[in-house]
Amino acid sequence: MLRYLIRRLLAAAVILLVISVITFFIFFALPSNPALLACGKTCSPSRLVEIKHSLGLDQSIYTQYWEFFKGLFVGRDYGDASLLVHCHAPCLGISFQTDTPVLDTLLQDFPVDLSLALGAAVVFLILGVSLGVLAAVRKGRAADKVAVGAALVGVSLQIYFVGLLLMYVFVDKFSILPTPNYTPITQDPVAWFQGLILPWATLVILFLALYTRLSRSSMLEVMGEDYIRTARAKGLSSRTVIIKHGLRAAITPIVTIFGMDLGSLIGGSAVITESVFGINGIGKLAVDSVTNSDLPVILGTTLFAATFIVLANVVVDMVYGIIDPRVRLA
Amino acid sequence: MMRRTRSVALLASATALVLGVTACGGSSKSTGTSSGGATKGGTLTVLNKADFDHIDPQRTYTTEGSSTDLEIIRSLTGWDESSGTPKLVGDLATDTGTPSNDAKTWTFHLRTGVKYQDGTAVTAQDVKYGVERAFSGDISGGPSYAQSLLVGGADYKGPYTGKSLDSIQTPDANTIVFNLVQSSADFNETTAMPGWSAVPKAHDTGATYDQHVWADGPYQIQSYSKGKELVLVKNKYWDQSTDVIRQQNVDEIDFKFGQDEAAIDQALVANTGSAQTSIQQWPIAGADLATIANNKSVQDRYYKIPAPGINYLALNTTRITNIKVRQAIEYAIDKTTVRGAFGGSAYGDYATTMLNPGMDGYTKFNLYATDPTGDLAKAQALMAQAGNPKLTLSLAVEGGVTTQTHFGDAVKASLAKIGITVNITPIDASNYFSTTSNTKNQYDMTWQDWIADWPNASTVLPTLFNGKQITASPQSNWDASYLNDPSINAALQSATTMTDPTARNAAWGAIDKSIAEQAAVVPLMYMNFTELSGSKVGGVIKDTVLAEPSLVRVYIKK
Repeated sequence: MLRYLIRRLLAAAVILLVISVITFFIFFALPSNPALLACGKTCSPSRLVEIKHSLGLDQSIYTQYWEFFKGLFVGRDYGDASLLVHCHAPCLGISFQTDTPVLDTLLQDFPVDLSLALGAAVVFLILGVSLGVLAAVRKGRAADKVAVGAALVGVSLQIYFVGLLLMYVFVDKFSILPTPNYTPITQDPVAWFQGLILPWATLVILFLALYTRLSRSSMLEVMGEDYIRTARAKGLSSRTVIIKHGLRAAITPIVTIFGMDLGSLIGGSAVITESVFGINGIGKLAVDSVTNSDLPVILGTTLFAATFIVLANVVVDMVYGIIDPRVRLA
Repeated sequence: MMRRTRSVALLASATALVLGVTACGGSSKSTGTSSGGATKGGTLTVLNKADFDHIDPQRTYTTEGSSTDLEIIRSLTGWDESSGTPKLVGDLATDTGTPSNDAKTWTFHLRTGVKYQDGTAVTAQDVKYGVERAFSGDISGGPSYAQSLLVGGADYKGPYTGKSLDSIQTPDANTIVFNLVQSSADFNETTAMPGWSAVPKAHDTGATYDQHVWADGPYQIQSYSKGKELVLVKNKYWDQSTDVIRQQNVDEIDFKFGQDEAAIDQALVANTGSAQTSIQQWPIAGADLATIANNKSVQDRYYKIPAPGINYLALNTTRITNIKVRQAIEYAIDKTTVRGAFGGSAYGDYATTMLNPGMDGYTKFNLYATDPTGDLAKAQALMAQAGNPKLTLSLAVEGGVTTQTHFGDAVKASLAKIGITVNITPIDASNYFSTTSNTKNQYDMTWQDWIADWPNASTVLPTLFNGKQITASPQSNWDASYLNDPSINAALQSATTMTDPTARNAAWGAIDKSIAEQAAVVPLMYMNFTELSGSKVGGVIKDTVLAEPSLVRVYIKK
């Protein structure tokens, strides 16, 4: 088990390294000019040279990548001698746009995405699987049709529309909830909860259908297996058959998808939700960085998101070993 | 002056729906406006879709950032707009400065009693240091007037190298003298930009000064989380008796960044809860503009601000070389469909000149069609004189922006009527101006807009039509029509250095006309910028210099 884990983590590190190289070189292959963007509207050639130097863009691509890579382990120094800024290891660089260390911004935004992702994920997983199981057990009956139908309506609605509509009804029109906002849970748990209800609801509406339908079909398949018939024939209660024998086997593919979804949500994939509600996390940061040709932030957000997706995969594989005894990790 | 594009968000259709709901069932509350004076106290919330590029006074060049700087810092001169028309006044300085040596030397005396947020006095040396910062490569983004106007500015690399700029002299703590490379009669309007302000060396944090701007205005930074929130609180050392522009009414100004612009528009229209004490600095989204402009219930908190800005189509004169064809295009463009693309009449009046009405140097004339729909007969006649060439022309517009897509279609339809096929080329919006201002670009026509840095032709015509910049700064050429006419270049240089205001204004008007005779650009609209506030926000001034709702005298109604 431990050897397996170490091997997987080493492989993950290699994947991240490759992603960083690809991102870096794609950035320079594209027609963008961050120094010119930073320079402002009327930019003389001599001023452009100064700004290129200030951003470190006057060095070769290979030197720039090496500086970035080295910074991850030993940190970097920025700026002229009189105003030296040190970026501590692991240094992901300093944003061209805001002149702040990328890692600081990521760590500051991370609790936002974590709160958003975990809160929504818990609800859509439990609700989705429950609805799916209910629909499977009552296949063809009203409960099945309502559960599947409702979930389908949810996923078919545009997220922009759902978000704005929820805002209009709950905030702008009837003032039932405060304007969505992120308050750290450590500072005020009630405000944290209230501020995130609408974003959570939006994400749940978006993801619920997938989990309902996935659980339903997976459950239907399992419930047709011979061993379920055997379990029933033994005289086990239908509750035990469904939960212990059926769901335990049916949950494996759901866990796989859930791991990936959670990883990418934490890594900032809920960007439209962030933007509609003005709760700015890593997703918004990533989109803005591309708009601003802000290479250090593009690299930082890409690596950050990739780290969570890769880690989520490792965790999912570990969980397999626990929920499904047939899987042996070695 | 830069501004963020008035763009259409992803949410266009969804918002139209939700806003439609609002327009019918929305706020029926009376706003209870009283004509009484400003009340003290309360918190103003500013809802913005994005953070400012910069609020470091030497780096900001956006209308939103500059307008916000008015709350925090004071420049040498400033604009008092409380009467409805901009009036240049001394801000840090006691008056609007004294020119000498044929306006090549300018002297400003500072007011006494102006203090920073720690109670120390603002000195002329701090202003010198502030202006010098703008020369450093680390302090990027700001305008380039200091570099081009001050003696020795072309080679100076900023104060962080340990050197200072000799052409700025500070004979005593309250006097500052600037020596310029040429006569500049409106230099004291240049000094109303945020960069001409004091930065105390001890509090300068270089490239990170955006988050640490040291206040000498009525408000100071309490906290600033980039991309999220900026909180300004009262600077207790600011003294009303030293300031003719600002008031210190609200206790706190809270800028929130990153909410979608459609969600902001929706909240301000609905006007409930905290939205009542909120305002926006980014213009109303293009897709929402017509709905909001026609919504009677919001009119008393809807600010339509005529900007010193022009929306125009640049014709590349080195690619469309036949002047008859260019004149035919002038007659053929249907400005009504073009304006419709940008949001209709609320967007602005039809333009026939490059200089806006109300700007120094503006002269009214119209060389082409008197009807905004164009004059097809004249256009066709001109094309016939040109030999009816079967032309295919490329047109660059901002990509992924609905208003721009509609604009491209409107131009295409207009020119199809005179036998010109238009190929619309969308360019990624964030790289649009860096692409079109690069002389390597291959477009026959480009969409452009320009906002003057102050209401004077000197910040419009020399930048947009001086052909010398094509070779001098090939990556940052704003002469989008590639007009390089020696007589126009000479006239621009001559008008720039004229010191008699009447002669100077006449000269600008004449240049504007000769550019129109060359049919180098099709002026489309004199731009308005439109914003909404909540019903409890009072004292907002329409700042026609920055094209922003000015917050310098804002208050919260009780």
